[in-house]
Amino acid sequence: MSLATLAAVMLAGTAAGGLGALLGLGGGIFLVPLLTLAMGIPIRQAIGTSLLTVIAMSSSVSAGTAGRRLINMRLGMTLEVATAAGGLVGGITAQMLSPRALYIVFGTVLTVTAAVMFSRLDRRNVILDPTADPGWYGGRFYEEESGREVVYRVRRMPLALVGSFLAGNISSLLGIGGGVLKVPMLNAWCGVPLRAAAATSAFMIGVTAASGAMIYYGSGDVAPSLAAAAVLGVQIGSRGGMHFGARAKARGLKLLMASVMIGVAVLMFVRAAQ
Amino acid sequence: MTPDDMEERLGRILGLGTTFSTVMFAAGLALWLTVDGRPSVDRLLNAGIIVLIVTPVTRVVASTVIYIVQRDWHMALMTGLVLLSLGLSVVVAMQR
Repeated sequence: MSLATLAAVMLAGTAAGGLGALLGLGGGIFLVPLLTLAMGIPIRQAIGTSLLTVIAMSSSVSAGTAGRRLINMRLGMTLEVATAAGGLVGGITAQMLSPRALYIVFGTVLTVTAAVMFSRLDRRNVILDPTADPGWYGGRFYEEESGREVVYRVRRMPLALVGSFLAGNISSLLGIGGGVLKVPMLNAWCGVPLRAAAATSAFMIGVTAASGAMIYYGSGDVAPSLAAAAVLGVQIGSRGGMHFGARAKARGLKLLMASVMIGVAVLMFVRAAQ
Repeated sequence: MTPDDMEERLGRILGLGTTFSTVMFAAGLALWLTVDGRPSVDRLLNAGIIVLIVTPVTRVVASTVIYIVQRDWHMALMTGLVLLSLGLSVVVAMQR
């Protein structure tokens, strides 16, 4: 393994840590094509390494945001059941869908969700009345942007469960955490404010990636030096992301999220066309 | 235990796991670059990977225990189900 490869993986880890702290994404969706297409690393090894990066991002970001009430543990741990089940049956559905069909479906879902997100840039999910009842799955947290405690309720829980199942499914197929599906879904359709959706997604995807990572590691598809470089990068990136995340406006974060999604959708369509 | 205490406790578990694996990876990588090919370096890096993977699993185990102690059976069932599927992944991984 060359020093240049290690440096590139470390940089990718830094980006994943930053995106994770800001948007709850593990960055695997960018890391896998980077490792395979740009560096010629075999796909299984790239996926194994990417899953480890996702775990590192998840643990590091959640340790950093814990105590700010942004992580909705009740919601996250319930959706984890659907994600884990999705990950387990991922192998079965993989045989039913061709990779090309998978890329097209994934790209289409992302494009539609990004469009919804763009149309809702100024719509807020937060209820400014701190005495409002958040319900069984909702939550409350101190929001710096409005300078007070805000409340939110979770809507369309069945949709959140189905979406998490699909995210888990795609996760084990593509070597990603699935945050790119879960965060916009929770924000655009289920009533969760972006910051809480991001923190909850970051909290969840470590578990999603862990089950996949075990299988890849057991099969010998993880290069230890690549994993080490990626984790060190994540440490740097997540610190930076948390620093900027607290100051960023929700509108700016939504714009960033929608742009990332469009980028990923284009990537998927390009791969479908290949 | 309030939800805030629980969040902080779980955060501490995740932070501890990350710190341990980061230290092992930093030391291992530094050695890997200077003295290439030593089996002890490989062992150090592999230990770091195992700590990394086990960290979120430990978090799920801790959440299950906390929910059982609090008699929050709904959430104990949810975390128990997650644990079950993680267990199945371990079984699959061992067979490889």
